[in-house]
Amino acid sequence: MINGNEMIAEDYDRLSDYLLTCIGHEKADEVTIKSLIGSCAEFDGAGISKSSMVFPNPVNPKESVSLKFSNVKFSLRLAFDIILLNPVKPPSDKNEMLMFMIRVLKLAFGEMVKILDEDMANVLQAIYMLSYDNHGATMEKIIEYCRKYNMQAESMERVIYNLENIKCIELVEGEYKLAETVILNLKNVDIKRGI
Amino acid sequence: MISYQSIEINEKKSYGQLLDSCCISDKHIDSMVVDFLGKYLGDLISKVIIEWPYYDQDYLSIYYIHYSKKFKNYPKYCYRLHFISRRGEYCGCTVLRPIIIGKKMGKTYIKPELLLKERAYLVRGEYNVHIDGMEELVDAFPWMMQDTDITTCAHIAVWSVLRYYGNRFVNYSCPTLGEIVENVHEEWGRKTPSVGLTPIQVSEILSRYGFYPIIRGGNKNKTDLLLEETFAYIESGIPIIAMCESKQHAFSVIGHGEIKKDILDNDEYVNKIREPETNIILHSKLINSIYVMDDNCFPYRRVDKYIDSESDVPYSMYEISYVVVPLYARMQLEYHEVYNRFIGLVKYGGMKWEGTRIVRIYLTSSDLLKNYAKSQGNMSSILKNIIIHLNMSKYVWCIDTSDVEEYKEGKVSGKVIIDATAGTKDGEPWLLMHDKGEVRFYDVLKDTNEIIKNINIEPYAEYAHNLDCIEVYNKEEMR
Repeated sequence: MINGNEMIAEDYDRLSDYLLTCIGHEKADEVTIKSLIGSCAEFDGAGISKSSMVFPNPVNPKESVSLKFSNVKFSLRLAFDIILLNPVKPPSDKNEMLMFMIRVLKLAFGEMVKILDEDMANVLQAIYMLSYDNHGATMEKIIEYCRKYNMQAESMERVIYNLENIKCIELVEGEYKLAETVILNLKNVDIKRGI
Repeated sequence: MISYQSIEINEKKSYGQLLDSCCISDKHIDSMVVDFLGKYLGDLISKVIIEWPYYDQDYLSIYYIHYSKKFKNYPKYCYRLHFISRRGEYCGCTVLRPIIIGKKMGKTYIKPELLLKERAYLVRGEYNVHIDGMEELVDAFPWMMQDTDITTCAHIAVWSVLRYYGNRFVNYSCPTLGEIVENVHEEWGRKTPSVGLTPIQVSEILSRYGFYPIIRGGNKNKTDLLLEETFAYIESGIPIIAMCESKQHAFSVIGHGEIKKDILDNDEYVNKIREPETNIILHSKLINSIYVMDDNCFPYRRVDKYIDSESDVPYSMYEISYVVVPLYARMQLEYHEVYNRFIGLVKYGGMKWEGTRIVRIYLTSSDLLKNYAKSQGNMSSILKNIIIHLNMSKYVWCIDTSDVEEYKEGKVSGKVIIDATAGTKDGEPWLLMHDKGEVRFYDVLKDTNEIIKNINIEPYAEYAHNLDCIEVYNKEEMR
């Protein structure tokens, strides 16, 4: 159901089809994607939109972006568990799924993250893998982990700043942790494939 | 008169003979039956015996409450197919019902060895099948397709679990499918045609047949906790009913797949799955698949944590939203209480369990536990004597703990036995606990805790009586 600027999804199949249509999935297995969405998405108060929030626009700091959230919650930490905490699947499959998830976040947060792409995936993966035993990841450890992706410290800090803005990560006592859930805002905009 | 007609199976295409009008009436069979048998049994079967007529209790139970009232004529009788392997062994049977296309396969008992692609740990019962004056036994778990009219996936899942218990334990009844449908409490109108069951309705049906069920799930943020608890009950040999909200589907869970012990060599992975304050790794974290009886698919389908187009079923373990667990009356202490108590014990209890340890939590009967202890040649005689002579409740929770190397060898060097009838507020539910040098146990007659120190307890074989370890048939030998 599309209402004005909001996409309000009410069932898993339609949400999966919408995301696959908007994003495309290249090499990732469609069955895997649908299963990931079925496992992690949740419809909270179907048909009722949440209140809007205002974020600074990283592209043009003089502007702010007002986003109205739809009713889809997405368990981010669970999604990373499913994709990365799997000893059987090859790294190439995991990377494809990780990139699909990043594109879902980009679709949901539009201009907020249009400047981000693989950097976002690398930083999120670093935070996830470095967090255990109730500890998160310090900035120093994230920078060291991401060196293998040839990321510069300045770009990493920018990525982290934006990930905090869209509530994908949080800073707790000097350490970054992955958010348990994010609220996806799936707007009815002119989305081109392969964002 | 009952007739038995055989057809020889040389290859997958041979099953097409079943569609010949001289074999089976076209009301009872369709191409899906033939495709299923060809795909899953293939040339492991040398002969199919067609029994006619067969009066199936479960089909008749829904015939009388539903199909007999329809305008179209539905026969009362069924066919039954019996499968004989290339080694001449009886492998099981399936009933063919005169109902809607694509759903004709009724009550089925079939050996899992024919259908597995890797080792699995399953719940099974022993079923008597009478054929041509002889009695055959099949070690299997019950399965059938839903008819979609009067029964749905949830009815079939409940039926399979109740049939398993009714066949295996004398104190449980064996209700037919029709009786289960009639026992559904429906507040919103009629029971047939059915639109499916909620977890609460499933729980109510189980209660009517003597169980004390619990419902778990409903919070996606706690999916991993749900799966941990699910594994504990599977490890206890309790088949459970799982419901998948994203696919609007229900099925019974009857076991799990291989244990990936080599994961323990991967430090990055171990760091992610270890409990932060106690260095404990749950045994369930090393298992990536469960086995289910899904009425949309053939029996014994594997459900992985991470699926793709090659998977048996179109859903993963993480998509399970709810589970309904059929517990006995005397299983009062629930899994999360046991787990939390154990974590507290590890932190403050004084047992010397050091380093990274793998922990397996399960329920069992105290009788079986004592039989197991008696059979253990490697168990310390002091420990063995205590376990055999200790007063215990009928059912107990056991927590086995091993270091990494012991676990890889299938051995245990620490155990906790907990009274399953203990209350949630009971501060001391322990009946026994031990490490490599000490045993503590509760003497119920004296109402005291006893300790025996300075003994040497070598690791002993793990308890493995709740599930059957089923190896894959050597398919080349079978041919």
